[in-house]
Amino acid sequence: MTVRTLVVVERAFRGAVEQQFAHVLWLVHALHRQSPLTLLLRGLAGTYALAREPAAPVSLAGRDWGLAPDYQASIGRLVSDGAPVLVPAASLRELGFQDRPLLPGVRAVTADEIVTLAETCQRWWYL
Amino acid sequence: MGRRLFLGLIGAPYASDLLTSTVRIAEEAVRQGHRVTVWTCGYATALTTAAIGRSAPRNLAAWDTRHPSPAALVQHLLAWADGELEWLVCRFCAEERGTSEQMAGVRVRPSYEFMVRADAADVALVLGVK
Repeated sequence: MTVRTLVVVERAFRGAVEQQFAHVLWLVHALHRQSPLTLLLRGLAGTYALAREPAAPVSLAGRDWGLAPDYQASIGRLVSDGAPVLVPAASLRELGFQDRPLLPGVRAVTADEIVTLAETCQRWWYL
Repeated sequence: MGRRLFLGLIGAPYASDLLTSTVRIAEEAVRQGHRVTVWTCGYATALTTAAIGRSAPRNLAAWDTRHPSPAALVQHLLAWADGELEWLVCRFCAEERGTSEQMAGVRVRPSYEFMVRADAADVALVLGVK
């Protein structure tokens, strides 16, 4: 039987100049390529799922500094590789983003759907 | 005439955008003619250890592209500021975390200097944990 893991990400924006490409969604995608994951973006991390322009690199002392974390690109890769990417509708409401378009392939879910989803996953990880 | 700005970086890196905010404030203050002291405590002392390379580990998904480490950023800022920025590390925090060996240009200072330097500054801003 294939083990499916529910990954819940709640904490967002964990250091632009430190992490650059190596942010939590980059890790989630790398893990998904080894074992199937379902990603749930709760709380402030729900903003990762909003359709918007990627952030520009931080400009410091006369140069652009590395990369700005590109969460949208990671979500695009996850969706392309078959990982369900979900956002609680409640999180979007709390943030005032309930009417904002989500990235292609991302789906808003109810609390009941999250319970059903959790029952289909053998592991629940908070990353 | 420029003023002296003290920035205490207490919150941990890789947990929030405190470091990004700190370097942005520091850079802009220097740009506007002020003198800046950044004081790191806790695991922020690990950002500039001597053992850390100037590039982040490679991205397996983009192997040929190298990305600068936070240590490289600090080194770049120190060189750019030409003496108007200093990056200090709390000795107590560094010893507690094994980060006492720091890269060139960064100085380890006794912990009591945190308040001494904050008091001596015209503006003291501490970016910590809530």
